[in-house]
Amino acid sequence: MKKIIIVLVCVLYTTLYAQGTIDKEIMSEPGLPVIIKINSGFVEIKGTNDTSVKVTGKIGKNVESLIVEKNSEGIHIRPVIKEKYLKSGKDIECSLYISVPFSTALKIESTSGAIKIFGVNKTLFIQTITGNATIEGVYENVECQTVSGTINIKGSSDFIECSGINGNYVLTGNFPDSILKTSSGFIKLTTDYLNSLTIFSSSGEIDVNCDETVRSAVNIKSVNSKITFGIHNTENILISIKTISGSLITENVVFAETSKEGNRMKYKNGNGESRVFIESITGNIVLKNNKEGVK
Amino acid sequence: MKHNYTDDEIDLLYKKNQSQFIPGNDIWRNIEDSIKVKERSKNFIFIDTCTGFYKNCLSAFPGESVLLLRVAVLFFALSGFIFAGIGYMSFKSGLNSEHQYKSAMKDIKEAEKLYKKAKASLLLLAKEGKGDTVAINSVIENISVIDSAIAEVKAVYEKQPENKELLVFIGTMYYEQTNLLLKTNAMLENMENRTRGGI
Repeated sequence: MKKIIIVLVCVLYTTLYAQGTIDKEIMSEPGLPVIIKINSGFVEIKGTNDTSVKVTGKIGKNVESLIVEKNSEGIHIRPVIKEKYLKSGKDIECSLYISVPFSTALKIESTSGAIKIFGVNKTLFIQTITGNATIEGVYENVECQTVSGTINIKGSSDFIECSGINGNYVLTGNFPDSILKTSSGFIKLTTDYLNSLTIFSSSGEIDVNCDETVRSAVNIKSVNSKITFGIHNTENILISIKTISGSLITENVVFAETSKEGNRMKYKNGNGESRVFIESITGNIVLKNNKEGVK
Repeated sequence: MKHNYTDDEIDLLYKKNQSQFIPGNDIWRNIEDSIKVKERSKNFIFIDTCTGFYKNCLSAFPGESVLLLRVAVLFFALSGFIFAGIGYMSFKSGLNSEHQYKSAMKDIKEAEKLYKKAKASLLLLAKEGKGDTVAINSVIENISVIDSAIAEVKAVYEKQPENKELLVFIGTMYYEQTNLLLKTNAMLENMENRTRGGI
C-alpha cells in the first residue's frame, strides 16, 4: 500500500516541461534530501524558511524536459537530454535557481556545470567532473569529489572530505576535521581551529593557516609540493617537519625546544599535546607564525 | 551507549575516526611498525629508565618507616624490568630482520599492481570514448603527473636505500593514488550512465 502511494505521489509530482522557462514548486518533507543532477550550465541553490522546493530558470533547446519528482529517496531534479546531443553536449545547458528549506541535505552531481550553494545547513555531497563549486554556509558534513573542479567553501563544517585527481580546494572559515586529497591540484585551508587534518597531494601547492590546533593530529604529506603551514597560537604543540631535498623556511616562529633527527626537524612548546606532522620529499616547507591570526 | 547506527551514521563515524580503523590486511603496517620501533629504540636507554622509575617509586613513599615497602617496590620493579627487557630485545631483533624488509617490498609490489590496474581501467574508459572529453584529457594529463611523482620518490629512495621511511611513503603514494583513480573511474562511469538516461 505504501509503495502504491509513493508511486502515485511520484506520478503526481513528476512534471515534464517543454524547453525554455522552468517554474516549479514541490512540497518538501523533513529529512528528505534534494538530489540534483546537471550536465552543463549552472545551478544555484539557496536555503530558505519555506517548506517547499522551488525550481526556476531555463533549459537549453536540446534538453527535452526537466524532471522534478519526489519519491522515498528524495526530491529529484534532473534534465532529460535529447539522445543525439548527449555526446556533442550542444545546447544542453541548464540555468537553474533552486530554493530549498535551509535544513535540507543536498546531493549534487554535475559534469561541467557550475554549482553555487548558500544558506543551507545540513549535509552536502557534491560530485563534479570539471565543474566548479562555490559554497557558503554552516554545514554538518561535507563531501566533495571532483576530477578537476575547484571547490571553494566559505563557512564551516564539522567534518569535510574533498578528493579528486586534480581537485583544487579553497576552504575559508572553520573546518576542524578535514580530509583533503588531490594529485596535482592546490589546497588552501584557512581555519579557526584544527582538530584533525589529513592532506595528501603529489605535487599541488598546499597552504594551511590556522589560529589554533586543539589536541590535534595534523598530517600533511606530499612528494614535491611547496607546503606552507601558518599558525597563530603555538602553545603545547609539537611540529615535526621532514623534507629530504627541499628547504625548510621558518618565519617568526619561536619554540622552547628545537631538535634535528636526520631529515626531520622538531619544534616543541609546552607539553606538545597537539601534533603536527609535515612531510614533502623534495618540496619546500614554510613554517610561519600568523601574528594577527587568520581572521 | 548507542548501538543501532544507521548506515549513514556508521559511514560518518568511520570518516571521523578513520585513523582508528586499521584494515585487516594493511599492506603498509609491517613497514610502518618496523620504522616506529626503530625510532623508539634510538631514544630508549634501559638503565636511565630503570633508575628513573625506581626514584619515582621511592619519592612516593618518603620516610624511614617504609623501608620494607621500598624493598618490595624494588623487587617488583626489577622483575618487571627483566621481563620487559627480554621482550624488548626479542622484539627489536625480530623487526630488524631481512624477512621484514622483504615482506615490505612484496607489499609495495602488490600496491603497484593495484595502481597499474586502476590506471589501465581509466585509460580504457578514455580509449572507448566514454565520459567527458575535457575530464578524460585532464585525467590522462594527471596520470603522468602521478607517475612522475612516484618516479621522483623512487629515485630518492635509490639514492638513500637506508632510508626505509621512503618505502612507507612509496606505499602510501600507491595507496592514495589508487584510491583517487578508482574514485575518478567510478565518477566517470556514473556520469556516463546518467548521460545515457539512468538516474
